[in-house]
This record gives sequence, C-alpha cells and structure tokens, in this order.
Amino acid sequence: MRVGSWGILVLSLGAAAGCQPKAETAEQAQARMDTETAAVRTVIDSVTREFTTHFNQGHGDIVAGYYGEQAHLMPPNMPVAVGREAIKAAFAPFFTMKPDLKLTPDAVVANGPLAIERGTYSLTYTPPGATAPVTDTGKYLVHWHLLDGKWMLVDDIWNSDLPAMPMGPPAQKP
Amino acid sequence: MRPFTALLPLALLAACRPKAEPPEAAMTRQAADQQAAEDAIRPLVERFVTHYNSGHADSLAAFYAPDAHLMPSNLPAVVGQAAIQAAFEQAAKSKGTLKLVTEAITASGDLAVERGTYEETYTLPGNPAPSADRGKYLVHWRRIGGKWLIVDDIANSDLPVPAPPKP
Repeated sequence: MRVGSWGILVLSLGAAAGCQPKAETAEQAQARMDTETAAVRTVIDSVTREFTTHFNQGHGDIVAGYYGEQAHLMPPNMPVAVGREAIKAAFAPFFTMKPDLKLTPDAVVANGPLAIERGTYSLTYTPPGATAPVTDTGKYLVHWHLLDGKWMLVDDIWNSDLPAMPMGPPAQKP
Repeated sequence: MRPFTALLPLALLAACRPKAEPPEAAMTRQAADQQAAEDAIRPLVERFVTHYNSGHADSLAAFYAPDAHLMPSNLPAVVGQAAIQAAFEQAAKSKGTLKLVTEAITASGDLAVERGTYEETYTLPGNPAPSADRGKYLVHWRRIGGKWLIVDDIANSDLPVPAPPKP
C-alpha cells in the first residue's frame, strides 16, 4: 500500500496549498454577490413597503429614520438635503399634498456592505389649490449601506419621466 | 502511524472550509478596494467630460455597460449602449460645456457608487442665448472583465422649473 501512502501525502499537500489565502475567482465573487444580493433584496423589499406606508401617512421622522445620518437626498429642482433633519424638511411639502407613493425596485445588486437599487416610482398628489390629484412617474437610484448592522439609504436621487412642470396650482384660465 | 496519516488530510480539508473573513482582513481589503476604485474611476470621469464637451457620442457610449440605464430628467430611461449613443448624439446638438465634480466614491469589490455635482452651459438649437444648469448625479459603476463601466446614471437639476408663460 505504498502508493496509498503517497496518495495521502499528495492529498495533504494539495489541501494545504488550497488553504493559503488567495483572491476570489471571478466565478466565486459572482456567486458570493448573488447570495448577498438575494439577502439584501429581501431587506430592501421590506423596508420599501414600510417606507411608502409611512410616507403616505406623512410620518416624517420615521421616513427620515431610514436614511443614514449623513445621507444625501437629491430631489429634482431642489438643492441636495444632507442629514435626517434636512431630509425630513425636504419631504414635508409632499406630506401636505395627500401623497400616494408607489415604489417598484427593478434591480438590486450588493457586495459586502454596499448595495445599489434602481427602480421606478409613481406619485399621485393634490397640489395646493388644485381640485384634482395629479400623477408623476419616474425613476430612481438608491445607494444603500450597511451601517451598524442595518441597511440604510445613503444616497437617494430620482427624476420624472414627464415633461418639466412647476409644482403648484395649474395656471388659471382667464 | 496509519490512523494519524489518514486523519491528516481530513484535518486540512476542515481548515479549508469557507469561513468568515476576520474583521481586520475585511477592513484592509475594503480600504484597498476603495483606493483601487477611486484611482480607476476619477480619470474615467475626466475622460468622459472631455468626450462630452467634444460631442463624441460613440466614445461616451463605450463608458456604459451593454445593458446600462441612462436616466435623464423629464425623459424616459434610455437603455443599452446603442440608445445611449443616440441620446448623446441628440445632446451634442446643444454644444454643451459640462463640468463634473466627484464628491464621493464608495466601492466594495467590483461595485462602486459615485456621487457628484454638475454644471453645464448649452445653447439649444434655434435659441441664440446660452442656458446654464447645475445639479447633482449618482452613478453606479461595475467592474466587468477588469474594466469599470457605468451601469446606472441619473441626474437632476437644482434649479426650479421655470414658471409657465402667463396666458
């Protein structure tokens, strides 16, 4: 059984070589990202449902709480809002307009503590002075980060698919 | 000796099982990922601006992944390199001068996100006076086959929508 002993020796050396730390192969990295992405997708779907419920009820503190402390909210036709207080203030005008926000995450990708979500939105609201609600539709991109064990929005930007319209009451016909 | 040698490979194989990366190793790897991504992406942003300001739509399209999403304000999303090239050909007609300021790049492995601000002056065809715009953007970069490509690109203006003309 000398051959058998050699076999064990070769196997041992092979196994030992396999233990040295080395970079992931492209396939291993892809497999890991797929697993991480699936896990994050579940979290994002659930947070998105909670977020829209609170948004539509005008719970500014709770909505701002989904953002990181130094998060950047980047609304169209407004300057960037940095931090939870500023984010709450930026959302405040929407809360007075009976918002009905729907978010549809179209693509999520994650790697370690970083995740990126692309989606589409529809927002129905009643501008001040208007008698009927209007609906805006568009697209968004969110940078999520795992902060102290919790996935938070760190950068949030969107824009409309529709031609530019000033927010406010529609022009009065004479 | 036999039982011992027989167990040796098993012990080594057990040591090879995938295990969680120690926190220090993860931090070192993430710092290296971060630096590598910044070193690669910042020059790409500069080259992008040069091509934009020269109206090179084909060169601009090559910065994007084959199934990339370009998401301009007040227009539907533009998907794929060919459609993105057509969108840049259209944009080139207003002879824009673009400035980009990268404010943050966050990377993890082959994934990175870049946040920044833009300024652009342009002249719409048929309009003698130039217009100016400024705003913010977010770009999702992905390293594909060793090359950083744009997967998602979205921007919006800081400026209010101009009021409609009085009737």
